[in-house]
Amino acid sequence: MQDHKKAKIAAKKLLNVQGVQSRLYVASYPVLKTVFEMSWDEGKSICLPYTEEGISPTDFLKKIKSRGVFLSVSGRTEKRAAEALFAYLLFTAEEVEIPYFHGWVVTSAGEWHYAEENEITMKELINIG
Amino acid sequence: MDNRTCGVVLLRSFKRNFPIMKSCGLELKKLPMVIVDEGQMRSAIRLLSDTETKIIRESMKIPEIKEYIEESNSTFLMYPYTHTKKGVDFIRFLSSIIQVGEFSDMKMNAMPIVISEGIPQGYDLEDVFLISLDGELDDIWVKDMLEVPPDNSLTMVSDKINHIVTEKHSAEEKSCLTAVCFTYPNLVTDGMEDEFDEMVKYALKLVELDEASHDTNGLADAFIRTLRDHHRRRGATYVYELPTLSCIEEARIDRAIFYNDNYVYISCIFFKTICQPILQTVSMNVLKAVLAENDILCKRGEKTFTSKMSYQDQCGTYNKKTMLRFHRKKLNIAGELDFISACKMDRR
Repeated sequence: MQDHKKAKIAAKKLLNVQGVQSRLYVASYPVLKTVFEMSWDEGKSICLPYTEEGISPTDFLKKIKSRGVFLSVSGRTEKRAAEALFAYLLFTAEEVEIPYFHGWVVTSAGEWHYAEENEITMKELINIG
Repeated sequence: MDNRTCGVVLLRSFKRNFPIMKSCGLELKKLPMVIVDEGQMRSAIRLLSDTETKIIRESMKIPEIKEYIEESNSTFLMYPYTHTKKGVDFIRFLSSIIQVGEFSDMKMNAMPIVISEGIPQGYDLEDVFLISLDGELDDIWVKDMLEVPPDNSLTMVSDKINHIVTEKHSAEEKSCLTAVCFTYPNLVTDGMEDEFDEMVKYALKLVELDEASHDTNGLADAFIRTLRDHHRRRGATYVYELPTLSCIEEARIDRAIFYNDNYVYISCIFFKTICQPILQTVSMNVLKAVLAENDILCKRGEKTFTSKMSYQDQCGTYNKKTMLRFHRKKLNIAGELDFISACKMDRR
């Protein structure tokens, strides 16, 4: 592969896992809560709740490393690579609305919805981490 | 649907639909207090709780309660009442937070409820909404989620509320009728529309009973009058002296009055039959509590109204039977005529 200056570009696997996907879970009632999820392989995932300061890429890096996901870059560039990966995942994340807890909740469309026991809630997602 | 089943459905509807009812200002502004018979606490908790229900205790610290309130939605914060001073104070606390509708600036999405074996002593019942569930509660079965309408049927619920609830209704009546209306879509789907009318009648009756329980003046006298009237109307009830009972007398244990020098014994079943006219306006538990307060009914411990009646059968064997025990002198008619003597005179 070459860029516009005809320089050779060599692609290298960035992560040691496959099938990376990202989701942004949003609950709007009774308070607005957002959780970022990155999933890979089969059913493996990490969740990071949005705080007032947002999500720190450092926390993201720590969290993925703790789950055995490594960036195939040098230690010096690891932080920058994590920032870029996080920005990309956030940009391409699928937004999913979920209830904050079970029972009656108001959706972002302003309608009442009864969240039954089989529905995943924001409370559960935060607890799972 | 019998009254107890209606009671359970209504309570479950209060529980599950609390957030919507609150957003419309139609929630119950009083603390619901469910009065159950002795030994029925566990069954009541099982019957009224779900996986989300939180059990709260008077020993809990404020931050713990706050956390429970914050995490709960469409469920009960259930307090199994203990007959203690702390218990009474805790009811006062719960009553105040339900009236305010929030706790520590936090909106409440779950409803506090008290379950008590018998009426709490030393607490003004004016601030609570009494619901009596008599008898064995394990026998009650209610279809799960009957009280939760599908999301797309909320318009049907709203129409029903507009149709049934009027400005003439009191705040409690509005709350109870609204809770009943939430069951309507599922009752229609299950072809049980007739049950809905029963539920409406029950809800209105429940409010009536609650109001009557706040004014118990004269209830003790009404009981004595009713007891005497029952005796006269039925052409004199059987009255037997203890301790020796014949086979026939023993067979009539649930239909007769037994006495000795100091006490009069009546079985719980017979007491319910005798008190039917009074039970139209107050619940059995309130009546028993008022009679105990007036020293007419003997109480054992804080919550037990029954005592063991010892008697000797024809073969000379001593037996015991659980009965309600009344102070004989307190049943005197017009304060003078001995009740038992009057009964005997009637029989002649």
